[in-house]
Amino acid sequence: MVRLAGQYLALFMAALLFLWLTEGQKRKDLTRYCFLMLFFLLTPAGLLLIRYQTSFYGHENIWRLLPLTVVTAWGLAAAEGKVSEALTRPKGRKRFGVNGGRGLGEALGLVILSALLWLCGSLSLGSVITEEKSRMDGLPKEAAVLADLEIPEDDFVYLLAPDEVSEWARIYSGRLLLPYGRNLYEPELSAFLYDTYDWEMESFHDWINGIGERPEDEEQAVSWEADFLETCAHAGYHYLIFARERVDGALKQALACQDRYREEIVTDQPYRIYTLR
Amino acid sequence: MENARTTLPDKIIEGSLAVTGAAEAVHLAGLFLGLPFHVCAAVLAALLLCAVLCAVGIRMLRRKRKGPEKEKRAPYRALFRDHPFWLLLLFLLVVFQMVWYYWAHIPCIKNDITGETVQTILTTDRLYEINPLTGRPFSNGMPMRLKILVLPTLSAFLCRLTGLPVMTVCYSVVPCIVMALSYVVYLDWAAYLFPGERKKRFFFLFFVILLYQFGTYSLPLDGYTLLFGGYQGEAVRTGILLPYALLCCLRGRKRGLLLCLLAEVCVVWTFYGLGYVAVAAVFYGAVRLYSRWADRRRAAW
Repeated sequence: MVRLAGQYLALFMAALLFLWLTEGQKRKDLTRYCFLMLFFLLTPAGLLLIRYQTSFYGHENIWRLLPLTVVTAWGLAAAEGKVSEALTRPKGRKRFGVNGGRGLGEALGLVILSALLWLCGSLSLGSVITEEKSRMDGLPKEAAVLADLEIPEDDFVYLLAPDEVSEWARIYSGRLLLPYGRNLYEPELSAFLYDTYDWEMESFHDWINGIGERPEDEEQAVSWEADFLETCAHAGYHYLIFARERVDGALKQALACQDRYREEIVTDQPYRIYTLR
Repeated sequence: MENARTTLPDKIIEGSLAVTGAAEAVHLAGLFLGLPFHVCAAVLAALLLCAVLCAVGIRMLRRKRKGPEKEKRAPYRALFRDHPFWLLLLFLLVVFQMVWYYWAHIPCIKNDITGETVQTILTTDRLYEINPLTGRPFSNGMPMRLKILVLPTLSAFLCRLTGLPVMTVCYSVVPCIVMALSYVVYLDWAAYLFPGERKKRFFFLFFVILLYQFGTYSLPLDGYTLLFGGYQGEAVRTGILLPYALLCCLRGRKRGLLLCLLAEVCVVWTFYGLGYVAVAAVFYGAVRLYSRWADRRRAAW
């Protein structure tokens, strides 16, 4: 179970208040720094900080300036002492608490505060935006098909594959070339590169992913798929990878009619690999 | 100036930042002089070897000069000897995080081209002459503000040095190093916030680990950046540079602050060298000015 929002800012505020009330001379500057930063982040004055970074980073990003981890962890560590003190029964007195001495009191205090942290944070111990590794080579399940390609050690080969596969191709091997990069379908990456792609690359992207418009007439559709296959062969795209469900009627017929690409036999893969002869 | 004394965590962090600086110098030389990557890697390896030899030499000289009684000072050893349970618990928690997030899971690669860049550097033996996303020559190029960043070159250097695959170095080894250094920074924070209270230091570190672990629900949280994108410059800034810079400000360690300022320019995009560390330093400067003014006013009363 994953929640979309947590309460760490509230914990930070509580810890900051605690720090302010119990501050020594040494921690005074830290408290003042936190208050000043909070003022900038919570008020429109924070816009000055965003302008300072030429709006390259959003408002969310500048919250990293707040020493949330330090202050909250300090607050919890300081509170632990108070909680364990309250839970420990002093010798010779009748009071609510545990008999196991200071050690057990500390342990209980830690459990209580850890539970508080857990409830205020993400309730998932596992991944939220990452996915489990399926193989030893570190490829995600969707891109595992890359491991089945025969990549020459001293040459480069072109690959045309669906997005979920091609986004890992250049990370997996520098010998795999792509007609277009991830910045074609991830516009955020245009901040990293000035290179752009023409309409032909966009049509290749749509074709291999099975998106966009296709001729409705069966005969025209087969001819349309065959044209793409011929263009790919002409451009020297060595590997074509299609999702299994993409190899439907028209593409299946076009592949059966041509002799430029041969199908590689790969079992247990949701993809079909075609190699240039 | 007790706080300005150099501790073991200081040495580790500042040493790492100095390595980043050396790598940046070699990276820039390779970039502007068009040197092949294997030359840059050899120069960097030679520089690091020299640095290690110099550090060992200086340490031996100091030992000779200070005499045997100074050698016995080892506060961290005592800390580990007195609280082995806590040490084991924290160690296991950190190992769990590293294994779970960096070895058992695949990171999010959206909005990042580090993996492709490292692979391209290793394959072509050149720095930024080929489009990392396609493997073909650039048609329009790449912004210089990104070309000057050193992390891909440093990762490629690690790949060359260890022989490990790019995916392992970028998405497992580098995040582990960043996370370990981040905890070293917080070890220093623990010593600063709880002087003489050893158990409290362990509590502090325990809660830092939990804050990372459960603080993955939102982008600005340190846990989110470190656990899901530990290989990025953003993680170095969030987990190491910003907390260490603030600690240096509080302790009056100008050298550490300067190293953080420079390291930020090397690992993540900044506005003409003025990044978040500079903002934090300016804010802290304002706080110090106010504190001095307040103290003077109190004294006048």
